[in-house]
Amino acid sequence: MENEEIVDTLSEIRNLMERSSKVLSLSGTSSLLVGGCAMAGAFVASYFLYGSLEPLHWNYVYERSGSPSLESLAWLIGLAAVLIGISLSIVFAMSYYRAKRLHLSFRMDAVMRKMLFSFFLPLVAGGLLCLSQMYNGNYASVASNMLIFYGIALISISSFTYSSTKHLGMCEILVGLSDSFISGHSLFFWMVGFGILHILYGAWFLIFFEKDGVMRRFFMRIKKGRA
Amino acid sequence: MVSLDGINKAFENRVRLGIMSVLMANGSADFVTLKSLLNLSDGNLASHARNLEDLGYVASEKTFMNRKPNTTFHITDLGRTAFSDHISALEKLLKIQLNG
Repeated sequence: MENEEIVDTLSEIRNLMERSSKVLSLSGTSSLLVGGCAMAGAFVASYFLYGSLEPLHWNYVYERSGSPSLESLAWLIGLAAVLIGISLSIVFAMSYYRAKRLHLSFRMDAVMRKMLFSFFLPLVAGGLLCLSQMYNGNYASVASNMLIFYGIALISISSFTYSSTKHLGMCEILVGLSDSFISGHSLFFWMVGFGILHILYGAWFLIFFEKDGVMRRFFMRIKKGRA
Repeated sequence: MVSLDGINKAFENRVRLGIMSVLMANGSADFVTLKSLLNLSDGNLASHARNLEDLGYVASEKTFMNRKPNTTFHITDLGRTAFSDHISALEKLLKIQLNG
């Protein structure tokens, strides 16, 4: 076989593998948007509950002053639901437009069903656990459980989409566990896990991963120069 | 089917290579998905899929969805090994040609 023929074959294989399996994905841009949403959510929650952005600082420790009122709890749960809704719509819309641009089929096939199931199973279980903890007045570990179960959900779908999703999931679990050991910084860790991690991942993805990413082109040029 | 340098003749055909690539990434795929991904006619896909099935690289399963037959293809362990061997052989060839 000729050199070019082999390269063609390999790139065709890669292309088919990508086109067939990575239809639904957390791309760099959607990760940045989701992270931005989470940051905004953390600011809103902090401002609403404490009247300032101070709880988001590392130095701030919550005073344990009983349980929050029912009203503010309902408000927080509503805010969380809105955030989840917005984030999921962002990911679905971005995936849909990417699929359209690349002329892929974006429909409910067996792979998509399997993927959605393995994503929502840990997520729903974790969500119900969080609700039950709030119901029992145990607020301290809600944020860390959200982070840990979200991390598990990411890891469980990583075989269907970009494998780097797994590393994001591991980082989420790590942040969640840190939160569970260090008390009094829930909102801070929540902001780091859902906001900052997504933004960092999105930036990393855009720079190193995306086909026409800046750094990728730069590295390709170096490689070409060396060959 | 396997030549001296490890190139598998079964995968030299574009269609069969395509079927294997999709199955390698997803584990399984149904007839319609494969057809639209690879831009094939029914007969073309069926004959190449049967070819791979005869070699033991692919297994098929026929079910009925709303009374219409629906075939799903799975990759077998043998198929996985054969395909990754083929890719390694291609890589090796490429390296030899780049260095030599």
